[in-house]
Amino acid sequence: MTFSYLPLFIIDIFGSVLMIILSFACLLKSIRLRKNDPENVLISFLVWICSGLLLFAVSRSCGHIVKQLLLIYGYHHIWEDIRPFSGSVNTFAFILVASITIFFRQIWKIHIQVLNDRKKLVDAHKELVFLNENLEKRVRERTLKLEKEASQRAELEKHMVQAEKLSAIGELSSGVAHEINNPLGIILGYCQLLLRHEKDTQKIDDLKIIEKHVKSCKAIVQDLLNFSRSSKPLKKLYSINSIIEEITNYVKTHSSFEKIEIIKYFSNDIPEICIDSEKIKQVFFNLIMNANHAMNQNGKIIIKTTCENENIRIDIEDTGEGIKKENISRIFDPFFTTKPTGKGTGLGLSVSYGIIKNHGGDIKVSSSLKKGSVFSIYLPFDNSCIINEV
Amino acid sequence: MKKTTSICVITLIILILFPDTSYSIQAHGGSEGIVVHQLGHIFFLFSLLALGYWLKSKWALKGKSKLYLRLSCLFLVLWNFDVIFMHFLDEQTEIINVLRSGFEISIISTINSNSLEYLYYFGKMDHILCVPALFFLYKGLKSIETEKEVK
Repeated sequence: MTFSYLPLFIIDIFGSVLMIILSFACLLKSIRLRKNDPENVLISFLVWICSGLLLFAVSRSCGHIVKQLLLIYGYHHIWEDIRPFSGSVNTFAFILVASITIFFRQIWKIHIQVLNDRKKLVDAHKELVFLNENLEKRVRERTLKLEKEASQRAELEKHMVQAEKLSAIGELSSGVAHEINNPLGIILGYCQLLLRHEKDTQKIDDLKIIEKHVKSCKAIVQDLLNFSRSSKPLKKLYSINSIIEEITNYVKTHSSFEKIEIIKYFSNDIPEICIDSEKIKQVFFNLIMNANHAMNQNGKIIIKTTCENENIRIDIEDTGEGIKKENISRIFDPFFTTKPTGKGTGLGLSVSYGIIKNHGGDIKVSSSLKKGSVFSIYLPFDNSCIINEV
Repeated sequence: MKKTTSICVITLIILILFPDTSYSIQAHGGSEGIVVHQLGHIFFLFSLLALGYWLKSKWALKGKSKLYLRLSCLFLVLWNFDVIFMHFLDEQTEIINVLRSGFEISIISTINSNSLEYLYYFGKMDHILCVPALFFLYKGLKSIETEKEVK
């Protein structure tokens, strides 16, 4: 049967040209994809496939176009010479594409395995980082806890040393005071008896000097006895503000407070707490008297009450000389005093410290030389006396 | 050592003095070229079938890109079937004869089969199959690019 060769010719020529154009477009597109995602194995595979198909399309299409042209112009023999090369390149090209396709499956499997392994590594890395961070956090927390414990232990040891000192001095002073108190009482009694009957002025003056010093000795002995007989506080509900008010009213009547201004800042939300009012009064009295001495009877005493973390805080501030740095750690020691001989026993702060500790509270001091000192008393919100009464 | 050297020297002398055809390298003439070409097409066909199957199930492609790549595989498979058959017919000169003269082509079946003649004529238009294959490959690549941009 005879057919028109024109459709075959047109399809062959146009098809070949389209093959070249499309294979080029595919290669360029795949290269562009790989530029955007260079680690994608699938796209790398497509680049290789497109390269193989381009080689195939160009060799085959050029062969077809050349063939058609040579056959039209009657150069049949030339085509016969070229034909084996064109066919061989074609065969090589599509075998190459087929090989890439077949072997890519294995590459894909390896790629998936690598991805899985990488995921596992990333997961393991994340876990390690988490553990590492957590470990650091735990070590930090533990270190802080240990530091806190060490500081608490040091504080406790300090308190124990203080308590031991107080105990030892208490025992000693109790014995001494007891033995001296009675003879002093007798001396004072006889001295006052002699004073009553004596007419000689010189002797009266001598006896008064004796009486004065015996009274001074008795005061010291009384302080010692107060210090050593630290009985359990008898707690009742009291308002701290009203106790301070009472004490300040009392001290204001004293002649040494004439040039001293007492300023009070009372917080209104201070609750009543269980305290031994007499002992707490003694503490406030001691601190206010110390402030007075520190200011040489001229200056300001500022008393503040506030609530702070389940405690009542009472600050007693003066504008006196302040305490020297080397003395700060010793001011609560019994018999430590910076006052001149005969002016103080060095027991006031020590006794105050013991009283506050017996109330479950704390007493702290901060001081600046030439500016003044602040004594801060912390008393816990204690309502145990109400529960005991019930 | 001396014994081995002596044997080698004697063998070399014998080979030089009495030469003959060795047949060590096989010649590749005749129909071997077409057989290799056809085997290549079968290999290509098989790889495309495998690729189409893998694309269906396992690979990380979804949506239009996957569809276009599978269509590309399908057209290349059909093209391979076509060219394998046409190469086969070209070799069967005892059943089909082709004569071209200018812009006319005579296809004569010696077994008087018109359908075989038509089949040969239309089978020669293989670009109808391979051009769409490349077109769908291009569309597939473009879809991958679009899907990545959307991501």
